[in-house]
Amino acid sequence: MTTDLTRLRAHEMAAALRAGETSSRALTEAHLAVAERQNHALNAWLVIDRQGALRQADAADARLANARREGSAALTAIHPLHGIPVGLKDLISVEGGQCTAGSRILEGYRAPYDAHIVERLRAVGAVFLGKTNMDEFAMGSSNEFSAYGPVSNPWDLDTVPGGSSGGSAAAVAAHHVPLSLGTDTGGSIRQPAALCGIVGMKPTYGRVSRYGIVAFASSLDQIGPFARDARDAAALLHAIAGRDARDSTSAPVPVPDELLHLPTSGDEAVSWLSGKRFGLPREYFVTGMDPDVERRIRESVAFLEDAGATVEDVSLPHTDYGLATYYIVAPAEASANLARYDGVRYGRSKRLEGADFIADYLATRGEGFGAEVKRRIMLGTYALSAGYYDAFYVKAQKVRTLIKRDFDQVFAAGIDALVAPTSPSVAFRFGSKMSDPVSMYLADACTLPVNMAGLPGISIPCGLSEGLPVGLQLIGPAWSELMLFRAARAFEGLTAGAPWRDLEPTALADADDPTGPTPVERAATLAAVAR
Amino acid sequence: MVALEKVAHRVARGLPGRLVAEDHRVPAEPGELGHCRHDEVVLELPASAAVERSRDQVTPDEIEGCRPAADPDSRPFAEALEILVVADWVLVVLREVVREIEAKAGQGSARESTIVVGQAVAHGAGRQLHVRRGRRPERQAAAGAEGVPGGSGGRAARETGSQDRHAHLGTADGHFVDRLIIRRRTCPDHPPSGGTAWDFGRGHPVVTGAARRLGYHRQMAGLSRSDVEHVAYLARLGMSPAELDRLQGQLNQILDQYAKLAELDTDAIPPTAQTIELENILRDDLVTPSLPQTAVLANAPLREGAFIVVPPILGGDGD
Repeated sequence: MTTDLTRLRAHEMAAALRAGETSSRALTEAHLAVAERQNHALNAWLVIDRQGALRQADAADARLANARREGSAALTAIHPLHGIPVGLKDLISVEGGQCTAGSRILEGYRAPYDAHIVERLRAVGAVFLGKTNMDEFAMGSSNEFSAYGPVSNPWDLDTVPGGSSGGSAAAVAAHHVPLSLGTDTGGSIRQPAALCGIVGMKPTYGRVSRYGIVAFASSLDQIGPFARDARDAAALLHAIAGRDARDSTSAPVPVPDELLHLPTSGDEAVSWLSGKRFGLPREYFVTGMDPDVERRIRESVAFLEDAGATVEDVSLPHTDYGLATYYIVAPAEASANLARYDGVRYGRSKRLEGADFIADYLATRGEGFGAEVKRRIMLGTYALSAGYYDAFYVKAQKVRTLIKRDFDQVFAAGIDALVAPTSPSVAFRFGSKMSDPVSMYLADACTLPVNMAGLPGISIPCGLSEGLPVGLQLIGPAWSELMLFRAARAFEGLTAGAPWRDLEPTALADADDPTGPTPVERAATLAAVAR
Repeated sequence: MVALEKVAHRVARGLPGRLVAEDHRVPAEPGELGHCRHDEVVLELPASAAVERSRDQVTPDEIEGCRPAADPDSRPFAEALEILVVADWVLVVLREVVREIEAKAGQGSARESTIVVGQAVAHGAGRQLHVRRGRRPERQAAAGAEGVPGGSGGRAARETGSQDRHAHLGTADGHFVDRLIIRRRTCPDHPPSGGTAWDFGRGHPVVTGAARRLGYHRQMAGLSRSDVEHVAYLARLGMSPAELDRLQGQLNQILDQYAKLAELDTDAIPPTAQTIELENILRDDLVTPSLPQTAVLANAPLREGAFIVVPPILGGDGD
């Protein structure tokens, strides 16, 4: 067996645990060591909870030992995530732990209860390695809006990992954990997955309960998995999906157990493609796309066709309106959600002597929120203010209907899934979009229509462009996660021999250097050079 | 100054368009419409006549008849008007305007009106793209340059007259014009170079097209610094002057993007608030355990016994 446990996939770790070839403690120790060693260079983690993780690992080992004594049936019944290290984006509540959402305003806050997904993961025996860095309140596409500093991309430490779930993506790409969780409001799972060369899925709206998650835009937010392959991501989704009474938007739709049984053999996975119909939305290939990214996508399409799938040109005519719609709806909802940070009940608080309470709010929120969050609160407040509500918010909600109908019509016409780029570019350098909000927003142009329509989407690695990963996005109808994972698994089978497949991120050796620059320093150097 | 004020905004609400005269005694930026209190309505155009029928003409007499008396300028009122095209929002597409008009009005005549429209529009937008051809470029062209993509939102760009009527539509590709201002020339050294009468009807499809697109937006063209301060206050965000300055530019740039939505006719489209069809999710009406008080209070910044200390909201000095 492999000497480096961190190079295994989660399902390989699960098999090794059952076979008694390793222990959860050994797995956890191995991952902790890498995460602790490289966090200086990557800043992917806001907390690495060594003690807590080892405690959970020991408990997992104890249950494994019990199961082993009880016999093979008990051993088989153990969930594949049992004893496996997982990273959690730092907007997921873990009782007693920090939950900053990447913001100063939640500094010092301790979550009073577990999020629903945390309960679920505890129930299957997963090990929480720590909390991952993120753009403040999940607002951003580069992780540069974290109040706790940017994250470096393991493929090139001078570039961003994407965002907002940049820490979760970088941690999986760098083998700090085989699995992590993020949230996706406009692309915050898929885009960093693409930029870091891993698998990331945004499930159907309503698939996973958001109870215990810091809210950004409630009609769009969804939790989803990161992993280094489709099987692992599917297993993690299986563990967290399903109805929870405490999130009334979580839907009573059955979660298929086949998520745990994606084909192990590549050939079997590929055979699934035969006769499947994919749509290539032409609007996703027009504006500002990196030509080399487009080439990777077209090559991927050719792979699918060679394997017996048909790929047809389709049109989603309202795609161009997605950005404007999103940047009305999401900030509007954010401005309402973030009104709760008043410095009175929890979080950072500024009380001024002799001033009125509004001055306290102004000071608390003015100091507690970062630039991007303020920008979005301002946009949202404006869009919802008297006289503009109909003109902006309602108008955007109507356009949202049109965007959703575009997708509905394509799927009604018999298309199984759409194939598109995840991000119009590969990972970009620190600072390159920081002064221009609109260019930053465009990083999500290919992902946010999917959130507007509430659909599931997955990003899978499909090659490199100038040494940096390119993500292929598959979009399916509501509740079609299993189908998307089958397609993703098939694509893995198709490209099993490709030279980029299983390539390690190229900057990991640099990330091992404890004296090298931190992401903050790298960003500062690049900014100085730019000046 | 005379301005076709709030046309887009009003039209979107079915309100009549207006011509507004500025009180010249009040100093204001050229092309700036933010001084409504000092403006005087000189002509009100019913929304239907003004906007829907593109062939409608407003005769100089009509304007003359409505205008306030005692104008020191002896020239006929209409002759002293010039059209200013303000490309405040940079990123909405002009060719959409053209396409819409063409589609609506058929081939021949539409093309003509398109060209007329397009030139005026292209001109303003062209200025936004640094295509400077005005005779008085210094102030307004400089202001117009602010509206280049990446800038801080636009200001006035001028239509200078017939010699410029051949501006390329192409220069304005990717840009559009949000409002049409009919401006009263006040400088006797620069008489209007256009015709004596101003063809309201021919100019109007621009307003119509742009208005449709921008209707709801009209007022927000360029959030002013005080607007930004007001929204910040509403949002309870205390910010430094430098932050507010930066935000003003950035917000305007983002608001530019919103204008695109006005291209779509959504009158018959129901809004989507959420995407999965769940209805009436109710929970059982049962008493369930809640968090212990200590856990709930643990995060409060100021506590007194079993209470969270809140800031006083009554009985302050001025109350």
